[in-house]
Amino acid sequence: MSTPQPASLRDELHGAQEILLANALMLGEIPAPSGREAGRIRFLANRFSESSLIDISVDELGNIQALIPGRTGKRTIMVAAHADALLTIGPEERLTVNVGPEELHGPGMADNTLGLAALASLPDLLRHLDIQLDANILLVGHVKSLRSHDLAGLRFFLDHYAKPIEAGIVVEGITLGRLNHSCLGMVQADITCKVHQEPGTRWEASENAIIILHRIIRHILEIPIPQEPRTSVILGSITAGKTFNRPPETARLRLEIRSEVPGKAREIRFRIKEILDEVSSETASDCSIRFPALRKPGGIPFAHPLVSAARDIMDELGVHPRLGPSYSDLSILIAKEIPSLTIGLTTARNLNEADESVAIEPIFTGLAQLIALLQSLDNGILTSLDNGVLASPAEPDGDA
Amino acid sequence: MSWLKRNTFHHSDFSDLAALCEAKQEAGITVSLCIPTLNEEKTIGKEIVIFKSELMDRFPLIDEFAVIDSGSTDATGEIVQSYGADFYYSGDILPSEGFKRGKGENLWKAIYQLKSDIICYVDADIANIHPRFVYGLVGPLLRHPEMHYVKAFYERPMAFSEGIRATGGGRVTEILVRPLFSLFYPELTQLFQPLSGEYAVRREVLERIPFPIGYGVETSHLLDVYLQWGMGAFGQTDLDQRVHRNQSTAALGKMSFGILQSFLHRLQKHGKASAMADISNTYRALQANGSEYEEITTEIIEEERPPMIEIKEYLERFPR
Repeated sequence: MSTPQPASLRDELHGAQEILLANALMLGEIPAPSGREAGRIRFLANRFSESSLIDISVDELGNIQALIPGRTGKRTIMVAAHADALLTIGPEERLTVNVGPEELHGPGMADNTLGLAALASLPDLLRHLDIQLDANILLVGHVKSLRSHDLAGLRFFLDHYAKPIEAGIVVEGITLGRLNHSCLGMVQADITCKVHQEPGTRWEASENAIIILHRIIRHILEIPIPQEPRTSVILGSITAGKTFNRPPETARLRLEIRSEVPGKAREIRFRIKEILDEVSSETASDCSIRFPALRKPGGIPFAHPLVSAARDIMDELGVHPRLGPSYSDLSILIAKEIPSLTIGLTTARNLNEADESVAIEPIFTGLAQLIALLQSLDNGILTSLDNGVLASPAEPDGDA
Repeated sequence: MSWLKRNTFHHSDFSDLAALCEAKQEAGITVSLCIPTLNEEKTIGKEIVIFKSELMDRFPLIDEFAVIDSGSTDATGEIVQSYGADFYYSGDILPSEGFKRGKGENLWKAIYQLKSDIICYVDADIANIHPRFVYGLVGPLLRHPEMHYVKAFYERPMAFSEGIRATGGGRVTEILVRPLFSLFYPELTQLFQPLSGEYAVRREVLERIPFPIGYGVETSHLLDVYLQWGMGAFGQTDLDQRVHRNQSTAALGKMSFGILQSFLHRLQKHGKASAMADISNTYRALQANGSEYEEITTEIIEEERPPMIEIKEYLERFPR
């Protein structure tokens, strides 16, 4: 196996900085709220077409795919980035991003304009570095990943992509050093409490949705949660009421259950459902729950050759790997038994604010890491995967 | 077909950059891009990255790219150089001619400093910069040899610190320049935005027209090119939107004063106004300061640089 030289890749990538920065600046000014990413997808289509990629197509959900053909093309590595960005605005409104000597600035730049820019730039960067792999590189910009869409685009793509994919790399703008090789089982729950208010009696506790929701939260916090294997219930958001003196008729709680152990998230989910039934019955309120996102736990082991190679590359680049589970795009690839990793490209500040900024210099390390990882896969890891080292989905019944 | 229909384009008419580069190569024409600057650290980096990547590295539409600066005190120069564009201090170009502070001075010095057959000028304060700001202007010159001077026009929102508003652009155009053109040069009213700071021009035209160094440069260019080459020399391209800093009404008053000076001088020169009285160079405005009312006076002198072809060093650099 020939050894990739990540540090020299990084040096050479400095000479092509405009490729990535220009793509990040132009993509960053195309609003892409979840479900309305068509502008960014069109930009990618033009880029891929200019770079003479093959099999460029946009599927019916809006995902774009394009292939950088390999020398032999016997195997395929997928590189994926989500096209939607938090904090972006309506398609008619104007986003302004900018670049200074050290940073790129603009809403959504870290998550995930930069990751998408890396996808758009990869064909040109490989050409600049004079790198051609034996394997095909399948570039996928997927839509509808955020909020209640729950990675619908990537799910749809993988459900319908007919050819084998031997390995996957998920590219996120942040944070350089992340190395996710497993994913937690995850359930997102959206609870709504509605009370019935009679005219003139709205001072009673039973007619205040906040008090009902409080009772539900108290019961949820009484659920035994194991420390090991890691499991948690995160109360993420509460909304209710409009003013000081009017008891609300409706209250809403959004929470997330995560667990490393198969079936645990599902068990907690069922317990919460029981709690809702109990409280509804006790208070004559109408409490309902829906689950906008469900993910299976799974992943590839720490000793997997893909993880080992990524750690070696990071080591050579002077990056301290932060290993840990992911609960986003990676889980969809893992569920399809595609050995995969999530990596980040740089560091950010003012995350999720209008002046979100990402550092430019670390991006070259992030890109060198991505390209070296592709080379490592091509130079032998894919062959070892042929011998049966696969991702391990853990849940037999397809539930979190 | 009317001039308006024949000579008005949309940037998308030229978005096939591969074809445009081929046309450029066939015609054997070179293109320089010039950005005049004075303290533009907020937007200059983006312009350079995008133009260099898209119009030099990806498609070789631009042969030369330079920023000509009037003496910025912010990080403009550092940013320009860090992203690999040529950066010149205007005072260092043609030192025998001295240095005058003004955008027109930078545009004039660019004719000497830059080498290409076409020079495309783009302002530095555009927040929504895109390659169309260049290919939309250069495209008509590559496709239409009879055209010499292509101006941009926009559907232009104004960017404020609080956000963006959809209307209110081009106030000086609509209140001053369009009425003047309607009175004295009706054909020129076909230009949507005569004051836009983005235009591409052939060298043989640029070197033969004088350059006011201040506010009057765009208006004077139009009048001079119109008189020497006629309306057929002009083209105009819709570049969709230009987001930039808004100027105060007071600043627009000064700008209008400078434009009016240049315009009146040209009227006299072109024989359209006779025996005009001496006109003042002092712009007078009023302001209330607490309980006091006061007059603010500003000297605005629209100095002009002569046609570059009259400069000896220029003829040495570009021999006939």
